Amino acid sequence: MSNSGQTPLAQRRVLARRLIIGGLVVVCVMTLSVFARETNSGPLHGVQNIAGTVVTPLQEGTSRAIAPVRNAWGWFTDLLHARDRATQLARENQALRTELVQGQFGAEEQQRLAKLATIGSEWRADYSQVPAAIIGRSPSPWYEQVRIDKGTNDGVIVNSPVLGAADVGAGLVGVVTQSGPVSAVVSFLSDPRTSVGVTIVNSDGGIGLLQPTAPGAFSITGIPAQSPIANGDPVMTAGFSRFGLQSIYPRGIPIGLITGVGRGEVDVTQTVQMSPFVNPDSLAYLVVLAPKSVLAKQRAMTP
Amino acid sequence: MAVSPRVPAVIAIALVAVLVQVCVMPFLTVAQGMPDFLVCAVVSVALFRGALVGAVVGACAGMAVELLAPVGTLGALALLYLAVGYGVGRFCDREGAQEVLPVVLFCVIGECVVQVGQIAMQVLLARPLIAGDVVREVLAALILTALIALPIHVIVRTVLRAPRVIEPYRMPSDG
Repeated sequence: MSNSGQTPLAQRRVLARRLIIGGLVVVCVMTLSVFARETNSGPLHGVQNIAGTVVTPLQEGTSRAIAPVRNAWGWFTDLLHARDRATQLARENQALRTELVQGQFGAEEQQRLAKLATIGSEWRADYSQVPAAIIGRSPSPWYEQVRIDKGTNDGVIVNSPVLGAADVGAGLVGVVTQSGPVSAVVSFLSDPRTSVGVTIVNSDGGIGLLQPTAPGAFSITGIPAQSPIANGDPVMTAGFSRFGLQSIYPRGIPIGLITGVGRGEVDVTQTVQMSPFVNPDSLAYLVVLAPKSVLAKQRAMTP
Repeated sequence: MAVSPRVPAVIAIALVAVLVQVCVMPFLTVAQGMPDFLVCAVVSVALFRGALVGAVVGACAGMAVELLAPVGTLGALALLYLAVGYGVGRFCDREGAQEVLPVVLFCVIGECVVQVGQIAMQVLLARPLIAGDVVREVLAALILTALIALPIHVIVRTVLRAPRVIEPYRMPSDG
């Protein structure tokens, strides 16, 4: 574009605009690059943590304030799905749902909280179970993280395992990856940066590494080919990784069920598909296993 | 140097948009897609205040969202919203562009840019994606964003209470 017909003031403004926008682009690219390279304890993560802590009270208040809207919205979307699946039952559904909406939400919440209270009793010695509400979700569906209303003041530290409850069972859903005084960020197992050393019940002690392959789907690699594995076998945390290193997760936390087994005749290991017990998208509450004993704190310090 | 009386209004719009985007929008999802309040605000500000203000508001607001919400990046959203603000502002510097393309279309195009950028980021970070889910989530986000675009535009126009400024070629002070 030629600037020959512009006044000097306009030319200066064009130059200033280009400089400002160019500077902003450089800052954004540098921030993106540095943030991706640094660890969770890096300075930019620290700034993010402080900002998250500052906004926590606001998120808590907003979360409570919009709860009725959220519930109504959930009811509305459920209704749309039901109509898609069974339009011929729409009238009956309408009547039933009107009745259900009045009492279902409260009952469902109580049921989930009750499940959360009963799971994980074997870890009571090493961990405090800290119930936490999800107060912030990622404003983009591409990131598998949430913010909870508990932090270091409640004993929640980085690498604390996080459990959730759902209709089909309860189990591990993620790990704390950032922790501030009054809030923390939980990364779900579906985050590709997360991997868990697991064992499969009835597999003669087969140990493998659980990793996400797609949203809602996981694979376990490294299981010896001779280990007898069948669909429906439960998957638990192993307490250590495939190479015998200590894991941040204590042994015995349920994660999901085997849904597929694949092995070739010449393979020495087999790859197993797993479906998790808990879909984190539907959760409103979580339980954080806050390390209490020296052993548990050592686990959390595992790099 | 005197500060334009509309600067506080632009800052207020950006702050409110960030808070709504972080605190409210993640809980209002349909088919895993969520409306993008921020892109509508950035587009409206860019329409009224031009490319520079649109880009600065987009960058600052995007960075704020990444700081306040549990997002796995810092700088990516800022870059995307900056591109949206600058692009809309530049396009609208052209005479008559605002009349030809309605605000809703700008918001949908802006949301497309943000979604494609985020998908590209996922691919670069080697994160697993399912094509069907991606298409469904993006389509849902586009439709929801289109639905809220006009009301947000009206609010921004009311708050700014000004005809748009075509910068920098047609500033009245240039004579």
